[in-house]
Amino acid sequence: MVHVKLEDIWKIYKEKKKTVEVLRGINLEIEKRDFVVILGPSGEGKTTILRIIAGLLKQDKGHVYLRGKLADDMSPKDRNVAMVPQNYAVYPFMNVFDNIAFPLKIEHVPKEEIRKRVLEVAEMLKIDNLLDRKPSQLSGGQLQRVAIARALVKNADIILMDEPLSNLDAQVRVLAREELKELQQKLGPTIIYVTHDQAEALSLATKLALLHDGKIQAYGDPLELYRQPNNSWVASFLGNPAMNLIRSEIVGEKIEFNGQAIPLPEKFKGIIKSNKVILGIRPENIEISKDGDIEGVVELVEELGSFTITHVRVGNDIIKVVDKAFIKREKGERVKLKFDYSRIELFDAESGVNLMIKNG
Amino acid sequence: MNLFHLFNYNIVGLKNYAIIFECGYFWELIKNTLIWTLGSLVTMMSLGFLLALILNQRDLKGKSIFYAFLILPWAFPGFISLLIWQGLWVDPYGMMNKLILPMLHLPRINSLISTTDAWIELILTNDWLSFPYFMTVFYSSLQSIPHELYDLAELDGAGTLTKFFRITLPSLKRTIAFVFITSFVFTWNNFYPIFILTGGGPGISTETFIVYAYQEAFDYSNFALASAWSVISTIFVIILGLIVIKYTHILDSFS
Amino acid sequence: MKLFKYIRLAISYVILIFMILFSVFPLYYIIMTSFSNAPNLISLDVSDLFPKHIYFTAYRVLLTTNYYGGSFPLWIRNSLILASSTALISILLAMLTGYALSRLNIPAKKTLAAFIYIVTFFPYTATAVPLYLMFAKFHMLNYIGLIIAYTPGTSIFAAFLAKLAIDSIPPSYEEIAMVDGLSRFQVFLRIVMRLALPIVALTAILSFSGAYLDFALAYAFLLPHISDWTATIGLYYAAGLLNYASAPAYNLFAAGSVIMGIPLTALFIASQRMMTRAYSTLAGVK
Repeated sequence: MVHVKLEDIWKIYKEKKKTVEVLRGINLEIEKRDFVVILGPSGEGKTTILRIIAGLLKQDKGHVYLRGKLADDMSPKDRNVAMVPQNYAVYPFMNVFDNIAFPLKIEHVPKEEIRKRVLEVAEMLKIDNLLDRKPSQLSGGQLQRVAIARALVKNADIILMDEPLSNLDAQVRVLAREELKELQQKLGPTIIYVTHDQAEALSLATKLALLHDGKIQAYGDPLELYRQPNNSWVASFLGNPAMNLIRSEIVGEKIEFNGQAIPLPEKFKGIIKSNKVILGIRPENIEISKDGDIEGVVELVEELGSFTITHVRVGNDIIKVVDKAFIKREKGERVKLKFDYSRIELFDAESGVNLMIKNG
Repeated sequence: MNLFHLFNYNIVGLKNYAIIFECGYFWELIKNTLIWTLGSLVTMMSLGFLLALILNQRDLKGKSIFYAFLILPWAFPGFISLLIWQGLWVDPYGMMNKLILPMLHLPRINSLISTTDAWIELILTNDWLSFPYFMTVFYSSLQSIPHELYDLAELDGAGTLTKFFRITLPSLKRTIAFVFITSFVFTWNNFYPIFILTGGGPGISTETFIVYAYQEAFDYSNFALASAWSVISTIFVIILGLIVIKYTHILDSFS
Repeated sequence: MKLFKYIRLAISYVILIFMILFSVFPLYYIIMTSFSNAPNLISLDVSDLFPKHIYFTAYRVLLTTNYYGGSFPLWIRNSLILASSTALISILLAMLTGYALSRLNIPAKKTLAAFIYIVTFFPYTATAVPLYLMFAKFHMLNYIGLIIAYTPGTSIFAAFLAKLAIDSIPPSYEEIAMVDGLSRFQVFLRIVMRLALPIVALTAILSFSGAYLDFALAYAFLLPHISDWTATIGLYYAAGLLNYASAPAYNLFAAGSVIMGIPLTALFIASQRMMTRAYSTLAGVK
């Protein structure tokens, strides 16, 4: 059964003669037990979607369905969802136990039951030793767990998370990510998770939705979206460093750019109609090797320990190459680039749409 | 006199204003209100500023003790202080004329007879009441000027006076303006000191708008006239209030 | 130029000491007077300032005497009731208004705010005359009338501060409570009020002391009923300003000043600390 469904959701803000269309027809279908991550740049409406699902914000057009039922007119408390806000919103005037127990207290759950459930959840998140502390005594990571505990204690089957890891230190963030993934698999709620960090998204999601320009640009299995992005924006947003996007032209059996050319890979032959394209190739799919087809000059080398990013100038473009740092390269060095032809993607120069998907 | 017959009220009301302008008190009152407001403000702000500068010196010892005592006139309820001061100024039995002024070799102050004396009494007392406020505001503003500005200036060879006029004053411009305008409005409408110390006397030489209006209403029962006076004074307040809002952008958090 | 530094510091200390004497003198004087037995200003002597003997008579008499139907303890009680009621209502009014100004989308918000801000410029006495006339019309020249007259005054300013304080509370704190099941009003009472507690306290102190210390309106409203007087009117009377002929002894006035003054000074200092804390949490706004 479709657990959460968004149908043609629009949200428009009018501010002093200016109209901003934040959401322009959002459609999303989320199955039970999915871990759906909505990924997109900051300020483009991810939090807005969450708040519309929670009932804190009313959409201007479209419908929200929860568990198969129309939820548009339900108040937040009737929707039986739980939420973890970005700044945790842990009440400073209550101790940890009371904070976690708060949703249950509102529902007038008997004291004994409250105690049991709070302890259960606290143990799961390894904060059972902090129950009588005040929030001001806790670190960011601990506060985040309290917020999650509070969301879990309700036993709601839909949990909304708004960038819950973004305020944490890098190391803590990675650990928290793993734990979150385990937790969801064990307990099984449907999680709708919002972030702008694409590494986080790729790691956590069972289904990934990319939000940009008010629309869902792509929705599906994270790795598929990564390997075969359906448009150039998605291609550039997923992956760090970003996919190289080069304006090129198909001439006969070759792809030409900056005065150089590579042969047109088999899969494109006969299918491509237009000849003005954007060539996409990920930095990790390029090798610096003597038998490469493309010539260029090294402009910058970033050594990041486990791998190196080499910026190579080819005509008007800078092509980034990622490899394990075996050979030390110098600025100004002349190199040859070899592309992995099976990993090339072509996008329409005008619309950005992946040409394979349109035809295939 | 019926409050709800607004239309009737208007016809008569203009007559009140006519009376006001005719009897000539208007100019006397404006003059007095200005003397009171500007006289008080200039002295209070200068005193507060001077003390703030003194307290701001890095090598001054015992700041907190000095500050604690200097804050007292402001901390103690003003109304009660005024009643106390009223007793102090009585000529010749109050302590000011009996002890303090002779001790400082200053002439006696009698506000029942001399207008100048009355103004001195009023402004001096008002200074006592309010200088701590300005001292506090200016002190915290001075404290918020980063030391680095002065250090850099010293490196460039600036002397004390230069530092004062080139760094201190410009940094405080906004504060001084804000404080001046808001205190102007407050002092303009400040009722108690004059009411308690001189009652507007001798004659009407120290009457300000607000004291005069109050007395018209509650001592002479001329409510209509009193209201007219209040309106005039209020118009000034509104104009000044608008100036404050425009100048200090205090309402920018609303939109 | 070490000399210059010493001159500068010396002058500073001299000015400071002089100012301290200036500041403290009237208060010292009134405390000493309250411990003297001088019946009036004339008989108050310089030697009373450094007395050999301390008299508690003034306090004893003040707290027990009956003045034409009123007494000092009675007036203080009246003031306390008046001030506490004003404080309570002001808190509610200020917080609700501040919340609305902060969270809700009211048309013409900025004009409303401008209007409110200008109104904070009106001290009580500027409105004494019209208030008196209004309340006379409704036959409310009594405590209820006074409370109604006082509350808007402090509430306005406090609402402004409350708005700024609530602005700094992230909406997520309220939203999470609403998702968990509270109505908006319940969120206001249980969450927002707790989070904005400093402002609540500040409003309480400001409105309490404002009402407690008011003279002009109380004088206008309550003068005919001596047993209804507030402590400020009582003190005015004791200072001999109401009716010189029937004034009580001056040391009684001094005692009254001390009794009323000291607690309020403490209250004022407490409110100053809260003001600076309130302003610093609204960083950048002057």
